[in-house]
Amino acid sequence: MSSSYLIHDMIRICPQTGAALEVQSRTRSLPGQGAPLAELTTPRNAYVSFQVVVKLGDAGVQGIRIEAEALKGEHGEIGAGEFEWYAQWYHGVQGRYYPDALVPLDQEGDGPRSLSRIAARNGVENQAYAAVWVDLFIPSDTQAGDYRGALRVTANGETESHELRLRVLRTAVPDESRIILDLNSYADNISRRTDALRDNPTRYEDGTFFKTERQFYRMAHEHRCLLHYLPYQHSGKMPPTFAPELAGKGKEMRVKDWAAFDEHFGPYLDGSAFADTKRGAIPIPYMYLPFNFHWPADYAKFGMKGYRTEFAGIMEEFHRHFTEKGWLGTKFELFLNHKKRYKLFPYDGDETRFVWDEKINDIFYELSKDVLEKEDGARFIFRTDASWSYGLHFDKYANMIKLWVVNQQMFSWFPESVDVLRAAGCEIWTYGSAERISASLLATVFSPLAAVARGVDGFTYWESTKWGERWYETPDSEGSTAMFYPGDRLFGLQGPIPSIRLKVLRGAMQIADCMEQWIDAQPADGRARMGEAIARAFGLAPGAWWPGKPDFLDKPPYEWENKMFSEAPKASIQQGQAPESFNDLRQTLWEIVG
Amino acid sequence: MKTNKYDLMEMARLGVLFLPGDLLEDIMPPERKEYPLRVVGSDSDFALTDEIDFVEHNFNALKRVLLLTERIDPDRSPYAALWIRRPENPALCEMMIAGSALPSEGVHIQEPWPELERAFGGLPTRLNRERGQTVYYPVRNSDEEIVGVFELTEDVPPMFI
Repeated sequence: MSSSYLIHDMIRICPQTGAALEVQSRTRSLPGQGAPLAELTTPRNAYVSFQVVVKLGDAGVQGIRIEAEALKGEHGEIGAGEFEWYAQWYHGVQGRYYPDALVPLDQEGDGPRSLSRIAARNGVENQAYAAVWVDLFIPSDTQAGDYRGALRVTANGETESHELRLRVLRTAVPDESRIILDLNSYADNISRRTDALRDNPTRYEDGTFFKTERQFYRMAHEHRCLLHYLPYQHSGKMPPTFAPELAGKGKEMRVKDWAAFDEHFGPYLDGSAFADTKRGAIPIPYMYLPFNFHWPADYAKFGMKGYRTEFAGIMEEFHRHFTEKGWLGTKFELFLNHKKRYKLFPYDGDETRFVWDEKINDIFYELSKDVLEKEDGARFIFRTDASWSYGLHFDKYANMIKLWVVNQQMFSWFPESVDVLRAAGCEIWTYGSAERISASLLATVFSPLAAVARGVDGFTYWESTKWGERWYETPDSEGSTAMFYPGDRLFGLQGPIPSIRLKVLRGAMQIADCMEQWIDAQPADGRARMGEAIARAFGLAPGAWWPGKPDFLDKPPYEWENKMFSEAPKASIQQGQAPESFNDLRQTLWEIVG
Repeated sequence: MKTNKYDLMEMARLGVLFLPGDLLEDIMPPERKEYPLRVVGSDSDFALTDEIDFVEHNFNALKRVLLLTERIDPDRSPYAALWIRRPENPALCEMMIAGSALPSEGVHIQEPWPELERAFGGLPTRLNRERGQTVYYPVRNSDEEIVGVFELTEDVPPMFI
């Protein structure tokens, strides 16, 4: 009788019962979950993921060993070194055990990250099943065709062999994402939430912060995401190295020294931080500028000519420096995140609700326009995050603001805004939160697919590093504010470990990027056809992405109440759908793109 | 130029000399002064603070005084804030405007602690903390009524947000 199972990547298995935790799954028994793995199909330059689940015998997790051999095809092979193995870590969520954190597995001997050591540390009560997440990377130079190989699982003193059959398509996932998957966070949460950094007062000078932070950027990059790290607090203050040190005031204000700033950000902006990753040394596509209400200009001068002198002068110096450094592959965002709820400033720069605060757009565009309107050199753009006033602003500010990051629900009320913003050369992202661990994994694929269906450029998870002090038991907000976890305290890794949700998100991004690539080649009706494929896979009604307008739009946003939103129209695909419907969509797509 | 050393309380006294209490009384527009009443029944902090709006001229004038008061002694780097009693419930207080950083007690509506209460009663008051110190100084309007309390804090980690 079998004691090990290969299953697909859209469900999670209860470590006590072996049942699928996704209650909507088409089959909840382990043998049934292997069906989609009969033959895996994948584009090139892509990860294909699956899971190995082992039923534990008397020896428990002790002695489990998993090995894969190279997959052989008619025209070559995919080396065994392309497999990556992760132990699934279980968290207590809503009275159950859910796996989410993934611990890179040390397969050799009895190392600190062997499956048995990790399971012992995890301490799941009455554990009867252990699970390993497997990533297999298909290099871009792999020849299209069929590949075969075996994966052997040793457990309970016996070895079982599973055949792996892989069909590699001619299509390749592009290195550069067509859609921005933006993992937002706030400096310097990585230091505040990582033991080794928090306890090191010289972390910004001795190189340890840069080294650790870079691991977060690299992990995001490898999962087709952008770690987007707002450098300043609501007060306008910044940690060292997040902005260059300034000297002088008024007309004498200058950047005193670029060295620390360049050491910090240069590798992200020339791409060298990502050398030897699968996607290669690509510069980050977007980066927040440190400019805010109280930097570089002194807010005590707000409304006076000296405020303009300081703000505009330093922005010009930034542009000159960035251009000289050759940082031309990144869009640098002027973004004003201040919120009046914190009572540090009287205006909402972010998510304007009181329409009179819109003057901030006019004031800061005017202060920055000499740089924003430059056609040569580094690209600086004005960004806004819009919700309450989006319907009032998209037309009014389309010529000033070039990056619109819009509340996911409110964006869906204004389909007419897309053409207006596109005509003005603007980019559009939506924003929301990551999915909770207790939600079906299918919910995680929603945002990339919605971006394709609606024709927008990206989406933002507003927070991605707030895992909580006891994340290894239960993450803060059930994981909806974290896509990584810190590897230092439990596993001695100076950097992050990924989550299952991050892996699923990458799978959806690969799909979305292939769709966008195909749409580029079919400009007439490509997007409509992809939209139909998505709608069919998830049983969506026509127009489901644009669910209509709420009846309170005739009131000014400052008269809206939060409780109105719960009953307002909202687009969603995940309710009641089987997680396997994403596998169906993948198959449909591969048949289309080949 | 030689600069003087200033005690934190003396800095607070100087700052308050330039603080028009009338502007603090009217830091919110009339329809927002009792903003918590707009969300009675909601337990969402986010919904509550969504209702906050300011009179920009008054806010900016006060903010400038707070920022400049923090700089009176170039050898010190305190941070300043202004507290009021809640008009709809004077037993509670709220920080209404901060200078360069937020008080460690946070931005929410809360009960005043003895030192802050004493300053609302008209007496400049010093609070020595485990590390660092805070001084509280009464703020008066043009009718010489106490309408708020000026806070100046040094060597205490501010609220991070």
